[in-house]
Amino acid sequence: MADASTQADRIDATTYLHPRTLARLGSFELRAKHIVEGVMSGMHRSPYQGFSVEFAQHRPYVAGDDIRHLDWKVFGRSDKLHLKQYQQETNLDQVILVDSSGSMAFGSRMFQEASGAGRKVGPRGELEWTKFDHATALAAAFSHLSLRQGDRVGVTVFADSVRAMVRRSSQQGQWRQIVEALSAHPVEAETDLPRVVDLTLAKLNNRCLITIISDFYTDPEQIRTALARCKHRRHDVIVCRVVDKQEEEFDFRDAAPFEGLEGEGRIQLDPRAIRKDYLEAFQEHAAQVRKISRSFSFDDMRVCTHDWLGPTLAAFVAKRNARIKRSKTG
Amino acid sequence: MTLLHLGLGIAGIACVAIPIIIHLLFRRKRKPIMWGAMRFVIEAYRKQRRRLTLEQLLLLAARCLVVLLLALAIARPILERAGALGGGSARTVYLLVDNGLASTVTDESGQSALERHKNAARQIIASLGASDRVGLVTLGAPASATVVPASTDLAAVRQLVDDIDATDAAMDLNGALDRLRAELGSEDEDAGSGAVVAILSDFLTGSADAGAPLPPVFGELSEVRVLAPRPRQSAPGNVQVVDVTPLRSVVVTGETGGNGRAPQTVRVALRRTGAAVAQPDATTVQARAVSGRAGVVWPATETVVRWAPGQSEATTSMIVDMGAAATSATESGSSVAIEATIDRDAVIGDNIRRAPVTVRESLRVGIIARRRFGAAPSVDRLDPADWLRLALDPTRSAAVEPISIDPASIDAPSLSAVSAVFVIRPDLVDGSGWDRLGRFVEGGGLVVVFPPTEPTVHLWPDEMARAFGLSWRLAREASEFEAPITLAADQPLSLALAHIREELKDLAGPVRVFKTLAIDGEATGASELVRLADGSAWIIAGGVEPRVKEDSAARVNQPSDQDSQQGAEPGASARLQAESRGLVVYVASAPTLSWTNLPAKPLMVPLMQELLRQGVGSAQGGWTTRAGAFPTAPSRSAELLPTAETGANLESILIDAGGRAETAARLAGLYRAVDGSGAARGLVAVNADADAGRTDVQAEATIQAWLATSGASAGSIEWIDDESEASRGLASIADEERSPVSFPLLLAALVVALMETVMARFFSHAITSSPSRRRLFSRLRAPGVSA
Repeated sequence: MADASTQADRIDATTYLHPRTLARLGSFELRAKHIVEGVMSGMHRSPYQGFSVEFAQHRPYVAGDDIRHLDWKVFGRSDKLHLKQYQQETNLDQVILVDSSGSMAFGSRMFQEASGAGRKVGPRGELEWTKFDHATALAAAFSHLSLRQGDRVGVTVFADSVRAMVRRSSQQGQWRQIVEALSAHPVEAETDLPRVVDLTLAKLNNRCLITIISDFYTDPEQIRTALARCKHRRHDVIVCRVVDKQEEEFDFRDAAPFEGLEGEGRIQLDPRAIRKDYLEAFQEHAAQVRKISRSFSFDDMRVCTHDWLGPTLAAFVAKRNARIKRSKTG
Repeated sequence: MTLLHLGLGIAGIACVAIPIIIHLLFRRKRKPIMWGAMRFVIEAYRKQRRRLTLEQLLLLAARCLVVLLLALAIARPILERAGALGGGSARTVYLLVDNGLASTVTDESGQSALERHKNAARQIIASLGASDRVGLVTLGAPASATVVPASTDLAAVRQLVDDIDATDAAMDLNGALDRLRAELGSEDEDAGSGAVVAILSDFLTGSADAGAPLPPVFGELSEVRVLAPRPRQSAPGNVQVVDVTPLRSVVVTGETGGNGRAPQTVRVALRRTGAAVAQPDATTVQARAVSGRAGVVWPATETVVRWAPGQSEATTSMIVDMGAAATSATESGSSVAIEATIDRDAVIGDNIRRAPVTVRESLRVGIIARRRFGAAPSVDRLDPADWLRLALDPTRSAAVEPISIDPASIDAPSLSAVSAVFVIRPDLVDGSGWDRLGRFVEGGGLVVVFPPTEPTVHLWPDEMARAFGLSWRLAREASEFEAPITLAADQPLSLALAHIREELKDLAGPVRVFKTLAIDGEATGASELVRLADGSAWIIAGGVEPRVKEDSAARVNQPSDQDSQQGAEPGASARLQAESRGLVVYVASAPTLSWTNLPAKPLMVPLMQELLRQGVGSAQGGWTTRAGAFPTAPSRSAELLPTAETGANLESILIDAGGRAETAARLAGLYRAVDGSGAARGLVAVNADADAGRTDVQAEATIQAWLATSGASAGSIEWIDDESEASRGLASIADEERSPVSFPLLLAALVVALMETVMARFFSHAITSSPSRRRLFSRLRAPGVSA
């Protein structure tokens, strides 16, 4: 009975999505920036021409073509047979990669304040709202957004390898499976992004929207490698960089030993003495991640654990949609 | 550098560990911060690691330095002049403490001078630092270098100062300075550099003989400073027993006739010194016989000596009944001594004096002459040996027992059984016989030699002179006077004939001398006992090769009051009194009627008896020594054991093969000489040095001049008025050489503490970490904005 209730708690969407976030998600659409190769009809453009309402182009008739698509108006004007081709609209496959490495276990915001369920402690008994908690909330939000649009969503929880995975689907019950997969907690391991991307791409046979939610505390070259592979396979990528306010400010008053969550060991130091250099290194790394993602024309997004997801996500989606629209018209 | 409070200094230095311990403890107890972005922390830390380590080390050093400086300031360090400038050394102070007889003088409060000297020594030691060195020399003769070279163990030296006891000897400053000269002039350059020599004495006449210059020790060492108490300007009077002389140093118990009485005349000499000389006074003198055995005390004879104003010396004669003592000593195999005591006064040590007396049941006398067989001849046919036997034992009282020894069979056993030998036929004694007689004399025997009647040419004096080591010579042939010659009316007064001094003129009147074997020339080293009317010596006495010791030499040069009163020659008196061992008496005429009519005259018996008794006593010696000298002991003695009466504070003294003590006797007392088997060999008396007990004060200028003879300049001699000023006197020297640095250390600690505060504030980055301060700093750093 206890296990059942725990299971029920774990998959409660409100654990990850605050009602305020859910309310903001209702009015947005997550659109694919490029043409996607969906298998179902949907709101996204397909690379295949088919029967649709949006004209694409003409092409000469060859033997065997269906004469129903002949453009008789053109034949009347030029006495040549051309076929009318239309843009096929299909669905969007979104793959969400959630980082569960050790560094994601850090958080300085109280769980009770951030959780939508009004809980004082998290499912694992923690008092702080960690970056992983925030990442799962973001992943849940993206999943919710896509499923609501009828798109297929798959989730992969990773660290140095794939820890949990939910195949892409838009069926009923997919949300439940996603939330269950996100219940995996962080492990004390480093992030191996290129490997995880390779494993993920190996299972994708069509172009997808890949959302990577991580703090990206790894070598920038590895990030570049992973994103380059995604670009090479013509996937669209949203880079979601999760940070904690304390990590960004590094505001400590007393000397204390620092111990790494990914087994880096312990250092006795006065944080005030290294604050300047720390912030420089932190900001430089963030800028590098941003620069890398933009070099591949991917969208990047900074998500702070102390911010509400709704406004952040809404602003991002709106900005992304506007950019897509501009690119179409331009 | 010296710490006045060494314990505090050590504790403070130990406290330096406190910041380190606090740092280590707090480092362990802090809860670590689990951090995700550790790669950036590590990266920043790597950039700042050297600077952070340096900051932490600087902070730790500053904190430790603050504690260290505070500890040093509390410990009151004192920098030495040279030490502060590098290459310097600690001070060296030598304490020369007078513990001679004069240091026992007590003042009105009952405190002795020695106690004052010890207090001054303690004060000086207390004012020294841990790196200073202090040496200690006690001046009771002979001076004892208790701590030389100087030691830094001040506590141990202080304990040794506490343990200093007074002696009955004189102050031996000469010996002490000689010892210091060896030390200060040693290869150790620090030993004499800036040394302070504190001579702690009252400089009374008993301690300081201003007429005798000191060894020039300090002339070679210009930096040595002399510190001394100002000479006392007043001292209590002191009466002392300066001499006790039994008129006869040998008591023969066999002549008491069984009545147990043996009256002994004792001359006791007294002396007054100090302020009391000007006052009339009376001193009670007691004389008695002591045996040296516990619980055996014989009745004392008492007399009173009355002093007239200005009189400083007095002599009294007392009759001491030695009968019971002598009998007891004979029965128990021990000896007796005569002890004279006076009333207790400021100096106790010289209120008593002892003189051992030899006790014999009878005196065995060997007569070396050809043995005559048959019935005793008539009076007109008596030979010299017969006359001598009659003179030595006229009443057959067994007090004197003549034994005949054949001149050809003189051997050690026969000589060991006699106390004296009368040689009637020296011409028949061969070389080996003379050698044995020589050893007999060296062992303390008496040999009386008469010229033989038979030969016309006398060659035997050569052998005799060789055997006895005599420097005087005899004529080869006897000389016969044309007319019988009488004895001189004015005979030399000698102790040997002191008993018959009054009757000698009458007894010598009928004596005629017809023939003598004269003494050839000046009898060097001999004393004349009886003189003929023509002025030539008739009876002389002399020792064998004189074994004059330091003590006896002093006595020879200082004739006693008794000598001067009786007019005896000092040399003869000393020779016959006590100092030499062994005696040779030469009578220039053979005891026969053809040479002199002495054998038939009344003088014969008393003359021979006195020669025997006084000669035996003189030959054996008195075994009296003054404190501070090396005692001598009877032959075959191995050790001097303190007697029960005086042995509480005395230690036994070992005697070497030459009969000389291995250590000096600094305390007066009566010792029992024993041989290797523990058998008694006699008594040895060590008396207080009477000259060391004089309490006359001396002027400051006199003492300063006397000390200046040691080479110390007038400027380098500093006086201290009492013991409490001793440390101040030293401090005045120290002030020139040292400077207290506690206050500068406190200031330095304060400065370092302030620096530590600023550094801690700066290194903690609290200023730049605070948002408001951060804004302020950024504003200050902005271009165009000045602080």
